Amino acid sequence: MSEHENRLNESLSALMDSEANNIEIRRILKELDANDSLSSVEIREKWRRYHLASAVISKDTVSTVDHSIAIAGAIDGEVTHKVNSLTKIFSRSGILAVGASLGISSAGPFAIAASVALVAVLGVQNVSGPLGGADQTSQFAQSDKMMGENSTGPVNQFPAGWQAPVETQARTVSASGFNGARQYPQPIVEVKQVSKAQYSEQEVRLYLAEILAKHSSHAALNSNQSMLPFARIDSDETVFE
Amino acid sequence: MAVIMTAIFACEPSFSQQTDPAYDLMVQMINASQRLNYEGLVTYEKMGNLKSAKVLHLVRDAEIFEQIVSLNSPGGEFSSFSGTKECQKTSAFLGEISGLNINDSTYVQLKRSYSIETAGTQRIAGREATLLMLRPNDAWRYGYVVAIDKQSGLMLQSVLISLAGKPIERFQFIEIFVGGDLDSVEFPSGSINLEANERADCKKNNSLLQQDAPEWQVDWMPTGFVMTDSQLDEDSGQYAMVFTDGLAVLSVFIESSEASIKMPSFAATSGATVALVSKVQVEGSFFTVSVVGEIPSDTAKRIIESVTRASDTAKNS
Repeated sequence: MSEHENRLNESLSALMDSEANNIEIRRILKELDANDSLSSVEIREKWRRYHLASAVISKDTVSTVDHSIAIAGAIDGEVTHKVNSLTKIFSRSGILAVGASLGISSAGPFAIAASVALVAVLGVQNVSGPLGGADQTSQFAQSDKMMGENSTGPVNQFPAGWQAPVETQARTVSASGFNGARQYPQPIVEVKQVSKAQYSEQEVRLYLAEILAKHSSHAALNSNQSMLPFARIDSDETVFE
Repeated sequence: MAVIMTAIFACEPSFSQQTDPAYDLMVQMINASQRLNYEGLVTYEKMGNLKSAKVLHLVRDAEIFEQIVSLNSPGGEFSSFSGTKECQKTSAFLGEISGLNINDSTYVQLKRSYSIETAGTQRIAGREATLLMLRPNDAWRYGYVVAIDKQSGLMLQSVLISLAGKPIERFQFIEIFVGGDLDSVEFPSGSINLEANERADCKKNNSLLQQDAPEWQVDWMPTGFVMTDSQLDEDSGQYAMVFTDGLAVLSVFIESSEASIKMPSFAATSGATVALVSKVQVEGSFFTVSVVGEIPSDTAKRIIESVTRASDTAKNS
């Protein structure tokens, strides 16, 4: 199998797993576009078989009728709608149905209010997520938490890697608790907060997420680390942008 | 500070690096990342957690598109970045110090901070790679082990090493495709750009030393760190400064006194990244000063303690 075919197959299975990126989707569409070519037919067939297999596995209705031409025709006949970028966000979070029924794509102020609500919802989930139930699958065997940053300096009087400017009722908050109901991995970002009484926990987390995101942008522009600075950001933090 | 550093660098004798294999490797790596199209799968590891992501890197003339899609998180998309090469701050500073650009003089600067040598070969993502070790010359920064693909020159792995010599973060390709149909594929449009203001900044960033009269200054930085950017966000009143020694990057943020009221002092670590948030009192008002970077927390602490309001005397010197 050629490298191109390999990539096509990988792109296709990524698409089936809903993990395909822009380029992979383009790659498949481009291939399908080259209508009567052998690989176009092959990929079309493979795609169909994948769906068939997945339908069988999930015990869905299995049909051998090819609706693709009829559907393509119907789409061609449709009036094009401009998609509001917010709907993209909402569709991810399942709020789309509500938003659409209220005509969210045209209601600017409401959209903003809704996005604030969304942040609040996510925020609550974040804060209330149970901690400590570390997901074993994403961990290495008991790596030392701070990886032994045993520098020689006055700061070592604090717990490894930590600096608490004032020592009062420090507690740990997770910035990565939003991982759905199933798993709560070990907190990626650990925060020791000082005198928390006057401050909103969520504001502190938002601020932390903001400066981490800005720093990552700086790092990407000022170093040759490729996408590494972006890998450092936890995706749930980018939700808050 | 900038003037002093430039003076120091200017005194440094320039010598040819042509016989240094480490220098050749770094040049190769930087050229490859600005020239080649590639996609692949990476793992990113910190604090005992492993994440995987799909990355895409495209270069068309002066434009670079980068996308990283998380394969773990529920959100899926991680980050998309598109910018121009000019946007990257290669010539931002007089000394042209930046990991993006390397020549005899910047390499000399880098070698003031790190001991650089090649360290054999390793197979990564099924490819032969040369290891490059960058050991810090002081305890103010971390070390790096970088693996560079022999065939393409691309960076296949980057490991940050703590002062105790243990890995604290590992970014590694597990599969990579270079070139092929990526060289001809259509450049993605309508992608999410890095912060819009970040792009706008590109225009003014070549005249960094004529920045808006800075209200704040950092009096102490580890040897080799220079400021590459500073900006005042008019809306939030946040003043940001960016420093690099050519490898490590750190950001300093100063919030307005209004915004500072809501913020406590705290310290946070996330793998190699430290975020230290603290308060500075100036003329009766409290300001929040934050340092974020892939640096030891001692370094962040000392930097934060040296942040002062720029006085008239400092401006005149």
